[in-house]
Amino acid sequence: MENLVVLGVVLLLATSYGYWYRHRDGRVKSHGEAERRLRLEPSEIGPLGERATLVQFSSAFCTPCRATRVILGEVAASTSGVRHIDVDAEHELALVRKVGVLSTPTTLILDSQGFEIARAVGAPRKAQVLASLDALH
Amino acid sequence: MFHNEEVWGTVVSFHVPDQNISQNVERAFLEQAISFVHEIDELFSTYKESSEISKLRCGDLLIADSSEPVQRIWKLCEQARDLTDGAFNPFHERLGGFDPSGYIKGWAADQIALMGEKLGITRLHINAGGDITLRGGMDDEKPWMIGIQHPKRAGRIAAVIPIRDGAVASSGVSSGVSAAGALATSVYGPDGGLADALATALMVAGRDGAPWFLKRELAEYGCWVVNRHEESTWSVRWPERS
Repeated sequence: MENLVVLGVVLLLATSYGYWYRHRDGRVKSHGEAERRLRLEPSEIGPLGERATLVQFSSAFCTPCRATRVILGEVAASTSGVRHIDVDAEHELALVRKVGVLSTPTTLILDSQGFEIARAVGAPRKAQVLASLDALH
Repeated sequence: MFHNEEVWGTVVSFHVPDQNISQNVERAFLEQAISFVHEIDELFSTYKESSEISKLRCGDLLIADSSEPVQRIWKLCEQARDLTDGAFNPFHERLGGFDPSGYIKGWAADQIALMGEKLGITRLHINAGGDITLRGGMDDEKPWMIGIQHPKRAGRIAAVIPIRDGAVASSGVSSGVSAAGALATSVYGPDGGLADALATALMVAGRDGAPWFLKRELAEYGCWVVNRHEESTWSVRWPERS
């Protein structure tokens, strides 16, 4: 057993900064009204979408990031007032810390004011993203 | 000698077990390997506007005018696409241009191993963010034993593969991307880039990928796959754990 090179890392850390996210992988978690919410300003991420902004944190050679980019790109293209921003986590460390990104891809769904309304760790499903957007009216 | 280098938003680790080589050789290897992984980032990162890949993607550069490594990766990706009957497709228009992310890490691990071999290092273990290249075994008798954790059961080794010379690639974080396919995949074989591509493609193709491994070109490759829904597994040429 000592000779065993354990690849837990392989499946869980391949593209990530930490690994407790397993429990949340791919799930879109919506925030309750009572919770203190994160807010991102245009000065940090550029102009916000009129209705919503999908902020994706990614890293190089991360295939789920690539899939996420495709999914969110399609959502933004097919839904009016929704903007998709892809952030290179390695080069936006201040933002990564503020948001609390522990693995890539992480996606935030922001409302028109830049408040976080949902977060997905791992590649989200298109239907999950659309459902979160629907909740915005 | 063991070193972890943070790059590409992940960690690349270099493990050179004690063997008959000088510290100078180890140091030279480490220097070359570290500068190589950063060069790869500069060439291939889709998140760097200045990278050749980004210029290719936006049409500022043609593949014919690209550097030798980029052209080589392009060709290797075409071969991987054909071997997977199109399931591995870094040329797909949905990706917004050529994106070889599913090939680079495994390929880079092989290149680093090659650098070590040229310096006379016969045993090494390179882990490029989960894509592993191995040379020479643990010692003359023992191969490297690579354990793979079950995607849903923390700390449980679900599959083990002994390898003396070769590569193991795994994929498993892209949950929810596709209704079909797999929860986690691992592929071993002689070439790290191709193993990486196969592991990536199996995530999407799931069981439909089994016939690829019957092709002559993939006679030395094997795979272990956790199905998406039932969490059962299937494998091709995967040895039983002893």
